[in-house]
Amino acid sequence: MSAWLLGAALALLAEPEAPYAGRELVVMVDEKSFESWSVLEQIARDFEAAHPGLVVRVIDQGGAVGQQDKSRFMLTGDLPLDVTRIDVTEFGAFHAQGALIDIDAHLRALPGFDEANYLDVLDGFRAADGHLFGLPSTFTPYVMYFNRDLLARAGLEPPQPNWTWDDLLAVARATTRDTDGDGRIDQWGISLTQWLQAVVPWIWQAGGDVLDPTLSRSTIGEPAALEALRFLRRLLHEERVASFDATFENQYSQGLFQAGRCAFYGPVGYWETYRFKYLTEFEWDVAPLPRGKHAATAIAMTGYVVPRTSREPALAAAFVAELSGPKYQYTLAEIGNGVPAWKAAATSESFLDPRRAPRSENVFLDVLPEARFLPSLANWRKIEALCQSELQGALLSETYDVAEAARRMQEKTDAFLAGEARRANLPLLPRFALEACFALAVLGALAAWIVRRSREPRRGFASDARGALTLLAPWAVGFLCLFVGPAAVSFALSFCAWSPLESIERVRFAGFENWFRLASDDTFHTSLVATATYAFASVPLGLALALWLAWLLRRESTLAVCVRTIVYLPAILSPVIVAATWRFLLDPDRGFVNHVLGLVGIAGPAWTRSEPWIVPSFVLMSLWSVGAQMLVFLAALQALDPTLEEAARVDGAGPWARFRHVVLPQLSPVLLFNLVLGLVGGFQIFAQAYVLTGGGPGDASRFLVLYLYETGFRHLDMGYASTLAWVLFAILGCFCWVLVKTSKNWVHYAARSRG
Amino acid sequence: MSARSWNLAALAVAGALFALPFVFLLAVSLAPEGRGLAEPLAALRDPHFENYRLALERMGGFGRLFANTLFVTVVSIVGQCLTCSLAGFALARISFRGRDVLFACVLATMMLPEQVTAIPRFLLFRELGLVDGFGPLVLPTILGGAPFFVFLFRQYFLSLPPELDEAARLDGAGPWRIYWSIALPLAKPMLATVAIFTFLGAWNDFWTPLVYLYSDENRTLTLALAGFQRSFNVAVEHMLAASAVVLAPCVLVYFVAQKVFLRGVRVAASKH
Amino acid sequence: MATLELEHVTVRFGANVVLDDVSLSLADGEFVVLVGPSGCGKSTLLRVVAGLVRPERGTVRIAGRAVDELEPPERDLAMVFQNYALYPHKTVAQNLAFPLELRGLARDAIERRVRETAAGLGLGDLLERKPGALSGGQMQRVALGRALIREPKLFLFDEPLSNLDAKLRHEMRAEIARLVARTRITSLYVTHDQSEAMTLGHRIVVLERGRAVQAGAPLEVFARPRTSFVAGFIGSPPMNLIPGRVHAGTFAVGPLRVAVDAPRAADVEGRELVLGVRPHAVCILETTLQDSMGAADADGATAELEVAFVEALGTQTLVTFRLGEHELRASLDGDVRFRVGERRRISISRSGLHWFDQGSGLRIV
Repeated sequence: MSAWLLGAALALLAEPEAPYAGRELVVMVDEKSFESWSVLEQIARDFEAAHPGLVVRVIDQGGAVGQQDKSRFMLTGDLPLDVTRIDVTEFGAFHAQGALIDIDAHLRALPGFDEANYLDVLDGFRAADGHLFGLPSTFTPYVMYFNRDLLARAGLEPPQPNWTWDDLLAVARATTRDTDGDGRIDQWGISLTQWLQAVVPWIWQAGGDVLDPTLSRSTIGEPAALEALRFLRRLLHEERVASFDATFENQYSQGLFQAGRCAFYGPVGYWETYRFKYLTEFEWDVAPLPRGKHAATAIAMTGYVVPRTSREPALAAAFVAELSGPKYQYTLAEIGNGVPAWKAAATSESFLDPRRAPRSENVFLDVLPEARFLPSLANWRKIEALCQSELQGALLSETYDVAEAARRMQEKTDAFLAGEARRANLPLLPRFALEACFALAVLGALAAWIVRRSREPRRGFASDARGALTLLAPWAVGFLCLFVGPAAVSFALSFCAWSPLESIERVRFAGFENWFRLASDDTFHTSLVATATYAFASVPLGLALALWLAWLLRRESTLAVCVRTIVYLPAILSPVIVAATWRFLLDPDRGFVNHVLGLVGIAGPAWTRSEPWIVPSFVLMSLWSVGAQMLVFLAALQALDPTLEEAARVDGAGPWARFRHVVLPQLSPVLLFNLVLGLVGGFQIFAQAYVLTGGGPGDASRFLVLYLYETGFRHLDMGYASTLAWVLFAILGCFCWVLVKTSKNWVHYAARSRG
Repeated sequence: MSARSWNLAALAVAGALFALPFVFLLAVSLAPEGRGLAEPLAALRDPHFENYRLALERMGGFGRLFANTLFVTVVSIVGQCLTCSLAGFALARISFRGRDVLFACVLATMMLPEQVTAIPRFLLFRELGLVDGFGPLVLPTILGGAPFFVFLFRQYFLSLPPELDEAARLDGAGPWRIYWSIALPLAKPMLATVAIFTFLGAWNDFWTPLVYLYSDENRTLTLALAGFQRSFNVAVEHMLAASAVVLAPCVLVYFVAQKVFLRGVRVAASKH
Repeated sequence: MATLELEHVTVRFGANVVLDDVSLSLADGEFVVLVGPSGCGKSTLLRVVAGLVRPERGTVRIAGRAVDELEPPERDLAMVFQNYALYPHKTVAQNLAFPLELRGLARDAIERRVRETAAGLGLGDLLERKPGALSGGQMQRVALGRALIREPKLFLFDEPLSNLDAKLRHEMRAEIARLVARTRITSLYVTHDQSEAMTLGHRIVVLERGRAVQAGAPLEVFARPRTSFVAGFIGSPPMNLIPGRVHAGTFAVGPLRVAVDAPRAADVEGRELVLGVRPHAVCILETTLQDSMGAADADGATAELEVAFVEALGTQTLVTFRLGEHELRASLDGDVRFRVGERRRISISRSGLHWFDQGSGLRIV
């Protein structure tokens, strides 16, 4: 730190006339590769050199799933941030909530700036008035990946550029088969991705859309959209040429394709290319999506924008131009980390390198004329989340009626859009209302305590009480300022509507709306069920395992000490590491667990990629971390009075009877302790799911805290997130209360005596 | 087979099952890039220790990450031990009006999910200008942010004979003097336990750094590790090597302080 | 040196009345023993005096001055605890020095006093040891030293001997008695052991469920217990307490008939009484001649009773007789060889009879 300061000071001294001295750009990037990261660093240093005295600080999002959480935190925190990278689907939200600065004029003032240098994707960051708010970093149209070798084996040609739905169906029929003759299909025509973004292109091809042109109403229930959904369902159900499993969230759906067990995989974007980096077992390639009535595909894109907290909009705009300029874009082309938006880079040998798969890389550029952006409005992500389960049901479930499901998606979306519209008209909360809440809660808590205290009979001396209060002072400050005050504010927020992108002065009063919403929020219900299932499965199983292990370990021996150490170790690991390890242990295709199960002839489930197995996967993971409870039990077991067990043995009780009637009752206080802590912890599962699944597949692992987090920071709804937090608190409070109340009947405290 | 040998067999099997993920982690972290999952045992023939070097290199500024994490951890430990023992002592050993209500508050905060207070806390720290610094990470611990430890200390102090305080009181010591000269020296086992738990908590904390730390020079190890995991083209082998590096201090601390650990857990287990 | 007075002290823990209107006074230099079964509130009373427990009502005066608002250290008294309450992390010397340090004495003065006190208690060689390395007796000596070193106005002893084994207890009992006699510091001593109370105190105060039921010189309390509770508590082996009813001037239980004194007879006619008989007051009548004297012996009572069991203690023998559904225990000198089931005639002299009201437990004078 000091060396850095010294360096900075020296730099200042050396260049006393630096025109940009004392100015700083804070840039948030989100790089997933080291090569591109180092280019960014280089661009920053070059920019500094071109602007003497300027300091460019480059920050990485650093989150686990890469959803730009950190830039949202920084915007919420009104922290200086000059450039940030966002997803194009978020642009609508950021723009609508006044989170971005219009840099159109700054861009056009830059020497050499020309829209014609870019491929035709700039509209993604263009507002309705035609002004540019940002420039692309990398983009990809949705395409189909396919297995050239598999097609060749089936005697089929690779698809032509203007192939159709019927062609797809025909090829899929020809490649779907049972290769080992066990009566089960093990080679599929298509591994179909089916989250909303990937389904939208089909709808467009059928001539439909998801939202009407004013973006105020869902059109997914209309005939054209239904036709697309029915076609997909036909592939999956009637024709059975598309695979059911391994078709969940994009980050996991490539398994079947990687294993060479499907001909087509998509619609997906360019990101798969570098995931298939090690895939050399067969030749793979890309093709445009087959056309329906029209040719159409969607574009996914990220780019750089200037948030409202920037203090240097002009410099920031210049830096945005650098970031999406040739330096970065050529590197992108070189390392295959995305499709460059810079035209020259995209058409260069670096990108279209013929020696590197896929052979038809040009497809990514060729489909651009028919490619469109997804609807750009506030909370596209929320709409995706709302439709997710219905969409999966419509496509995957045997029993779903497509039209019915589409109608429900439409209803949900409409209700949400109406709510959003209504929200904008809610009255603003008076300035300082939240601050007042905080202060009132703190003072109220103090006053309540003082009143309560004055009702108690005096005990001890005033100086004792003074001493005690000074001893408690640090804790009390923490309790009041970090628990009571914030809890009150969050309670107040649960009656409000507020996006963390807006300034804190724009909190709106929403009455009980958030609380009423709980009743109709399917995601919340799913999440509640998932959380409760997890907690009620992991806690009793964990306790039983912990108790059993403690029972085995209670007699000290070398082996017992070793095993105790091993069993306890996982409990001290970060959930991030636990998740990382299990992610690979449970990998359905390459994971160790399924490998071992395979050796004994069991086809392992898809674990974290399969809806019914996801909660069991987390339970399994939690069982690995059962060491803490085990230690508590062990300590309690070793502290037991052995004479009681001896007495029972003399009375003729067998091992089970001794355990059941002598040991267990004595352990009951510890059991209660572990039960309460376990439930509290179980209901708060977050980090594992955040790192491992991000809530998927479907909503199957969208546990309450994760949902709460997403609601607040991804769907930008702090009010509802606060409501969810309070629901969680209420649930935990109830359970603990019930446990403690009923515990009198089953918890036996050893008699204590004091003269 | 006798009950005893059944017992031993069960122990051995349980130990092996629990050890398996560790072995897996280590094996894969030493395997040649791209081969770890397919043949985790490749590491045995030809361990690739350079995975570790590469992983550290790629995490970027390991020294700085380590120093940051260590700083946060040490400050947290000192703060947590002092504040929680102070509060636990007052709640256990001094009789004053309103005490039971305060203890109920401690218990209630144990139930309060972190997320309930996260957003307003964030706004508070923003008002205080502490965001993107270590303040939000260490202040809650300095201010006794972990009610569980207050609870543990209280239980521990309750287990000491009250006559010690009474004697000190008659000898002329006030509450602070009793705390400092009598209670704190006697609470050494508990202090060690809380220190270790705090170490693990601070070392492994993911959420708080994620929310509050932005600048590269402020990042902590878990944050860097999570960022590392997210990167698409980080090889599994490197990712697990980095994980192994981050978890090593925890394992080390555990082995060194195993006795203290067990003692602390015993207190937690025995006093309810 | 000081007097100590407690006036109407009441302590309540929640709904539980621990001390109920207790008044007590100690003259300067007096050694008073508070005795009572566990849970009677005697330790609490001590803590009220020390200022560790705040009474709900009542006043404590030390040397004539009300100390209710004074903190424990300001009351200038020292307390010796049952579990010694030595600071386990400090050496013996540090334990002794701690109260002096807190009073801000100079280092060399502290050292000198520690040495003197330790020498006086025979702890000279143990100064550098920690309490964990001491025997029970040594620890108790250190605890005494820590109390002494302050030269307090008042000593409070909270069952200081009950953690010691029997032999050591006798030694320490003598030591405490000598110590208090030498220093002439007013002392309040709490114990549940009535023999300790009898031997140590100038005066004893018997506590029963938070109330002081009797105060007086040990032998006076022994001779004239004010209630059946005191009667049963003081004295070893304990007094026989036999409930019964007075009918026609005679108290009858099993074969035992006791005539009630003529002046009292009218008052107690038909009432339920408790007859108290100390085991030592029971005599065995050896001759058949006395056999014929019958139940109407004006000097006391006689009866022929069946021996239920016999406990031979060497110097004395405890014989328990069956008395209807009750028992009567006699303590006989020497080795008396009675067989279980054998019948013997016993007599109790008039002076050995104590009468208590069954309802209130109060002695009937």
